[in-house]
Amino acid sequence: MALLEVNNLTLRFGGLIAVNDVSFTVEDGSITGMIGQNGAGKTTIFNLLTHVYQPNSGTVILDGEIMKGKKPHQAVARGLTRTFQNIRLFRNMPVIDNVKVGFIYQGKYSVPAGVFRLPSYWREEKSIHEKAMELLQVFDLDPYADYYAGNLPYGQQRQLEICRALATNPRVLLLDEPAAGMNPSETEALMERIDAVRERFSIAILLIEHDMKLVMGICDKIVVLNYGCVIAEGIPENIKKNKEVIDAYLGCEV
Amino acid sequence: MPKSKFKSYLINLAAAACVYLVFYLIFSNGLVSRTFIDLFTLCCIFSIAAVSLNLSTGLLGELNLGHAGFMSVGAYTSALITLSADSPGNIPILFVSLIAGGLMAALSGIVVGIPAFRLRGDYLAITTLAFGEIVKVIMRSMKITGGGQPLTGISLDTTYTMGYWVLIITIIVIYTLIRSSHGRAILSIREDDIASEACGVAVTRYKLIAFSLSAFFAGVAGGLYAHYQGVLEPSFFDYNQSINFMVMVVLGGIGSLTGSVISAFFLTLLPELLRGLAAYRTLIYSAVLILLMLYRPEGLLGQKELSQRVIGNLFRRVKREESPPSSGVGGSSVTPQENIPVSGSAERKADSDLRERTGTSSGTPEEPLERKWKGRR
Repeated sequence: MALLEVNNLTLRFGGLIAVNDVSFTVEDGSITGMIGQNGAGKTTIFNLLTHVYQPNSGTVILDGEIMKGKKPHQAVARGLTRTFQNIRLFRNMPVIDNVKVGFIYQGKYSVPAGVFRLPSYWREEKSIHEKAMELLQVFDLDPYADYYAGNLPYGQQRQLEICRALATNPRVLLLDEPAAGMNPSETEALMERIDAVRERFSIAILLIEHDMKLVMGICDKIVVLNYGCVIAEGIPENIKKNKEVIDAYLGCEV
Repeated sequence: MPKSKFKSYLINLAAAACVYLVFYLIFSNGLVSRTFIDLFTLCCIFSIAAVSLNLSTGLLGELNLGHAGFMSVGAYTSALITLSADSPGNIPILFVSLIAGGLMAALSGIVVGIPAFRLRGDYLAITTLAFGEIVKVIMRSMKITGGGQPLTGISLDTTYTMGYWVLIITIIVIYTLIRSSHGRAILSIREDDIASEACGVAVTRYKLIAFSLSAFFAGVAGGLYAHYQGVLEPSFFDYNQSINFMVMVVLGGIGSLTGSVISAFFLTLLPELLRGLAAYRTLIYSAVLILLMLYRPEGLLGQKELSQRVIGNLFRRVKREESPPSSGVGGSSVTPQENIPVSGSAERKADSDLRERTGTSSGTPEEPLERKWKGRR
């Protein structure tokens, strides 16, 4: 059984059907790519998965459990964490604190314990700090732990966002255009890193991307969207040859 | 508890005690007049209000224009409790009444917050503005709060000692809250509530925690004010007073607790110090505000805190400047160390801002990063 199952998801904005009867699956430990034109509904699906929007119909099943919830943080608690297309870091907070915010569901202590510095505060803070530093090391961001996140260069900000999302201990990580605005060499480094992250944390990754080299290079499976509908789903080799996909999105060059 | 932390807590507490001791010696030896002692108490009360407003506005990032309303709720609750107990000078009862006033204010904060936090944007500002006015009208119309007449006969129990230590407790509680995982959640909401929610922060819950805690301390400040003034009038806690607190927060630096204290003292003392100038008083007051905002738009302390570490850095810097002949002529180079608060003008900050921006876009991440400011830790 697939880790994440999306069944017949539909979302209408008034008369516009943004997501139309979409179904696909994400296998455990795999990288699934989602491609399609601008406005095809890729980010909207992310928003549906993370409860930003409520679907008109359809279900999302994570590890056999139907995802029901009204708030995005409930999706995170279940194990679905996303990053954003336009970077959304906590710019005026140190890099390490950005990551520590992601640990809010682990290392729990009460508000009074935090205010009065009870032993649970010191114990949990110590473990949060160690875990956050460990995560930063994975992304080579540990030398910048004390810098404000807004002062990092663009590429590192993107990495920090992934790092922060990993802190929430997700089972499926949703990456919304992780390589947007990166040059080819940075994209390549990112590809390797995403692959390494998948293996190290043994999680499934669902990513939206326009960079075909990245998508074809690391994805085990690709879902193609067009006008809110899934027009193809399969391994990269088949997607490349699919006539409908070439007409709708890839063009004849690929 | 790590040893270094324990030491720094002790140092900060000792510093607070030292400051208190200085004022105690001055006040008890009759070096200054009674008026000045009263003024110091008032400064402390307003500081508590400003620091607590900083929690909801500066740290949570929600514009709160009805802070005086929460103060009013606390003031009346506390005054009515001590009036019904009818035991002037009874400190335990006063403390109970202060906490009751704070809890009442926190409760009203939750009542206002639950509907308002379902919305995004500036709705809280409008809701709290309305709340302040509603409280005023309720206090005017209820019989128990005087019914249009000022509430009189409250015992004058608030001393400067009490004001000072309640202020210290307020600062400690808010500071330790912010430096915990819950505080990071609150700060992350200020930075970007959408991203914060996507990181698993229960945004509405944390907004309510911060907002009700802010209202709680406003209520405590109100209770202290009631027993400082002896007379309560609903019109004192009006829109102007809320804006006054907001000015204190903005002037001190949004997000800086100690900055709020400094500016609360400054803005409370300034009109009194200018009393001799009669007609020019409001003119100078507003001119000072405009100049400060022009030359320090981020507030007196920005987002920094005046702590033992900052003061230590300052001393070290002064020492460094004294000992060797300085290499740069007239501060032409911008180094990260220069970004200690108190020093450094807005222009210099803008200049280093620009350097950073150009530095990051040049595409070599390692080298220019060295020049970037370090975070607070």
